Amino acid sequence: MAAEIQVQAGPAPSGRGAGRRGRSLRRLARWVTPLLLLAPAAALIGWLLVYPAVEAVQLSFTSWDGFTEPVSVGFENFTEIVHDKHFKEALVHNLLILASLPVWVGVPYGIAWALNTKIRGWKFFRFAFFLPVVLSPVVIGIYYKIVLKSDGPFNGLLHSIGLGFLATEWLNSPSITLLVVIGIIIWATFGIGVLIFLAGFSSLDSEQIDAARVDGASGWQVQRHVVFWQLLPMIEFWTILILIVSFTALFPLIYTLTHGGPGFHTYTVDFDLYQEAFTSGRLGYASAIGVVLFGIIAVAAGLVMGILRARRPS
Amino acid sequence: MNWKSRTALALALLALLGLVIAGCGGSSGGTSDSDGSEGKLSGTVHIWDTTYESFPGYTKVMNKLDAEFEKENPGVTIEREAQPLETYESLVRSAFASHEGPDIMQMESGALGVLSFDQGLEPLNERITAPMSEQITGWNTVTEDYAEEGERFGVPVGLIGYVFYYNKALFKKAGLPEKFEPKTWGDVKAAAEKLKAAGIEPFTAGNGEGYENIWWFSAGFHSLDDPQAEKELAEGTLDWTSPTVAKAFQPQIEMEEAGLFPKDRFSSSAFSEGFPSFAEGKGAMVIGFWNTAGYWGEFNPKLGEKNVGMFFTPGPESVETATTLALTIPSFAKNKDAAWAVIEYDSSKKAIEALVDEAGFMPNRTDVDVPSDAPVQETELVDAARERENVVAPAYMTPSPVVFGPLAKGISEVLQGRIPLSEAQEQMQEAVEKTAP
Repeated sequence: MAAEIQVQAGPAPSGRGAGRRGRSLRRLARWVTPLLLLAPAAALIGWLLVYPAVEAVQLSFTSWDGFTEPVSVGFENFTEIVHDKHFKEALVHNLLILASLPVWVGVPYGIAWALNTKIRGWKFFRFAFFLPVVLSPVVIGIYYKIVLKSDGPFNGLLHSIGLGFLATEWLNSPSITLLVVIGIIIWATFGIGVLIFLAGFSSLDSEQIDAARVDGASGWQVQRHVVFWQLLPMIEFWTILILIVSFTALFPLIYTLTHGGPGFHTYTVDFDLYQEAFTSGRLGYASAIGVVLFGIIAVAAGLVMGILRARRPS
Repeated sequence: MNWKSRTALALALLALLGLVIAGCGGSSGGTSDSDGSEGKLSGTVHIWDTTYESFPGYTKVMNKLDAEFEKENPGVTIEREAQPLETYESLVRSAFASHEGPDIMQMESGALGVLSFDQGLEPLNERITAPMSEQITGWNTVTEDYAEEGERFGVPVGLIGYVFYYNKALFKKAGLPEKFEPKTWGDVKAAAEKLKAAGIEPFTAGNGEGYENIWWFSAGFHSLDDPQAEKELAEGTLDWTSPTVAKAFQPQIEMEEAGLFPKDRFSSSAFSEGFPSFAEGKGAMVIGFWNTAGYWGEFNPKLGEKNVGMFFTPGPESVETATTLALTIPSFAKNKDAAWAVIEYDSSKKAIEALVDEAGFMPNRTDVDVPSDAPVQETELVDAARERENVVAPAYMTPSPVVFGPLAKGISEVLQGRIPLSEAQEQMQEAVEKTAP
């Protein structure tokens, strides 16, 4: 019967050589198939991300106005960045935004924890908290520009509830505007954090939690010593995401909300990059800012990962 | 499949590919007379237009002109694409950097557009005919070094400038003359103080974007009546830390220090708040334009034609002017001959007449007049442009766009007492030096 099947299935292996060939082909297929499946995506990434990134690195060593051919200037752009007052100001603002990281992580973590206890109306709150995430940053910028005008609805509300003494020019006060921007950024993005942490809470290892409770751990101790460590990968992921957002995704909001003002008080690095490239026409210098920005994000991400992992119990 | 079928299939595929490539290539380009049919134009002319679809009168006129042009030139199709003014500069820069874009770019005149991008634009001298050169005015706003003669990079359409508007009824209420012709900035300030004392907001304003700083600088610089400074500004050799520049900022600074502007000026917008407030009679004066936006065409319907007064920059006999827009051909344009034909058509007597009659443009052709029933402001402005010496508005000569950022932001900081004027001037000078060739 076996011989019959072999005949039906095709020519029988003629010996050890054929078997080895078959195994090699199978091994090769195992290697090649994933590569072939990955190839289209890799080609797209190469074309849309890697190639422009390499070009940007090349351009960062040139002076280019977009009209004539780029002229090589060595490290001149990078030297200029070190002395560029506006770049340094912008970097400080980005770091200040990043300094709000504990709030950025803590707020969605707390909300996700509360929602996970299935409080009354939790589905509505989950929807409400996620709503700002689906809004375009441009819409958010324009919306808050209107709401926070000196004679706008927010100050109107403050006056109507007897808190008129708090009314101010929210988008035109050097000491306040950056804080306002930070608040809006957190409001606009924390919904993603809530979803990430909710997913984490729903996949907690209940056996560990039960074991801790049996051992007499209090609610706080369970949170601190069990839940927190189980959610650490989510915290890491959200932190890295915030890090990238706080350096690279603020442009549309800043452009529509404050345009970097008052003065240069809400200038961020990505906004500075845009200004250098498309207002001053210094495409080589702007590329150098892009390269430096990439370096900053890589180093900061590495540091954050290192710190969080060092704190993880063995 | 045998080898014959395979070969046939491969050839068919190759032919199809060839057709696709040919189709792609053919759709963008065009010819003038390459097939021997002298003067016959073909292809698509793609236009980037920042005014189209923003101003109904202009849009209506251009739709009509485009249709007529296509009828007269059956081989040519015009694709006019509305572009937002706010992000236009970025778009234009990207187009030049990638050598891809339209056949015609509409630009602001002077350094606000044409003369900042002239390296990427087609010189037009060989195409501009003698009659065209004579009949159109404002060539200096599209010519290197702001000269009447020289390499020209665009064709100017329409006339523009800065002018102050005032509300005659509010002036009368404050005991001021209805015909107000200030000779100095001191006269303007005195009138503003009198208005304030009468409980009237002297100026309406919206300076959140810092645009008003540029307009007031232009008026302030023009009022210096200093030909040497104007020459240096045009040549790009003016030192932005100089006392001359400081003097140009003084009129606005003095008005601000005297509390003559609205308090929320720095968090409101010129176009959506400053000008509408004036039109609604909420203030007595505003710095505005000759046409297009922030002008008599917006104010007259609400305040009444007789109630809208105008005065020019106090001091000089000349008037500061520029051209509303300029039509240019980028060097990378694929259909230059057809593009030029469209430019000739859109700047012709017929086109300018239509723009004047239906879109409220000011004519920059000597053979086009404003209609006899035109509002008094329009007639007065055109007469001033024709009878008085014309100086290119200083704002159109600043080494834009590099100096505009620190000028707009820095002067707002100065006006709010956050930094001294000298610091703002240093920021401007730094910006200019950074981008110096």
